Amino acid sequence: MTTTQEAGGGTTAPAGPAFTPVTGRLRATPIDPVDEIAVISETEVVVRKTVRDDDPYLEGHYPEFTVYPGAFIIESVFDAVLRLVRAHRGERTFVEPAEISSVRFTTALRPGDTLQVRCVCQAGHDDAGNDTVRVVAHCTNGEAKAALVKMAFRVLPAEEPTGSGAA
Amino acid sequence: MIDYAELRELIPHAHPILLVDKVLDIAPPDRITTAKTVTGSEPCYAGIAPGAPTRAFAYPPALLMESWGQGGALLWMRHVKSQARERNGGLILAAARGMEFRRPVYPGDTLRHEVRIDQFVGDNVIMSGESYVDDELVSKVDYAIAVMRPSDELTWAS
Repeated sequence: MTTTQEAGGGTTAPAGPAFTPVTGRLRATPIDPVDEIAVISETEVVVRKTVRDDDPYLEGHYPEFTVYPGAFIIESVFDAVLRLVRAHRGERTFVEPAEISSVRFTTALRPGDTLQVRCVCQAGHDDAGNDTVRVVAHCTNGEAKAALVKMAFRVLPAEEPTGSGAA
Repeated sequence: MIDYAELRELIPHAHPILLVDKVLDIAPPDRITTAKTVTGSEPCYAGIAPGAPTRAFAYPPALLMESWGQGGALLWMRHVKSQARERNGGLILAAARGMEFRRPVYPGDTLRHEVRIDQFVGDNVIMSGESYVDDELVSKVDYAIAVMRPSDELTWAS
């Protein structure tokens, strides 16, 4: 835990991670899964996403009352890991989900709630020798636990962008 | 068989997150096969930057899970209706284990979801199953638990 030592010898509250706003979509996704991101280290990343009434798909989930689909939290984990991997392996690297070993949702999210996802990652290899990233994602809504996600991604080598004219 | 009008009435999901196009087969109370065709006009494909690589267009895992789970919801709600009961509130995925994603799904692919309800426990169900494109396994779920909760008692605790 980091604390800041003041000149007079006292301490201030622990310094939180420095978040950077995120714009633009890297891939198909039902909502913008990340509003801001803080890459803590090569193995840890934290993202935040505020649930909005006008998020795509929410008008149908459900018409009589709006509740954020728990599965959408997986999209925030996915984007967090993709952006972390790109930060360290290059902007054209991609990841794709390989497995969700377990996920448990504990608090329903509603419009106005801010989801925070802290991903702790571990690089490895699957049986075929492909690079993988295993993730434990601690998801919170304020002080409340929202979900715990344990999943793995395959790391895919860089692919040329479409229309690049690359031979 | 359940036609589109009936499936819309059975489960609370509505456009654009009603992700079942057709019921292919149903064997109440515990087995159903549904179909969902992925199209590039769905909202999830909006806003992707020009020049994005092929893999950027893989169908999102959350929607794949949701589409599979809605098959189970249909089967479940038909069972509830057959008991002269009514759905009470929302249907929510509470937990899952042993989900594998074998290959990406792209616009133009038609998913065939096979869902089994392994256990009915009060207002909860435990499900398992697979999703295919043609005969190729796309994903599988060993265990998923869904809960039915009134809107004023929303909790994912099972």
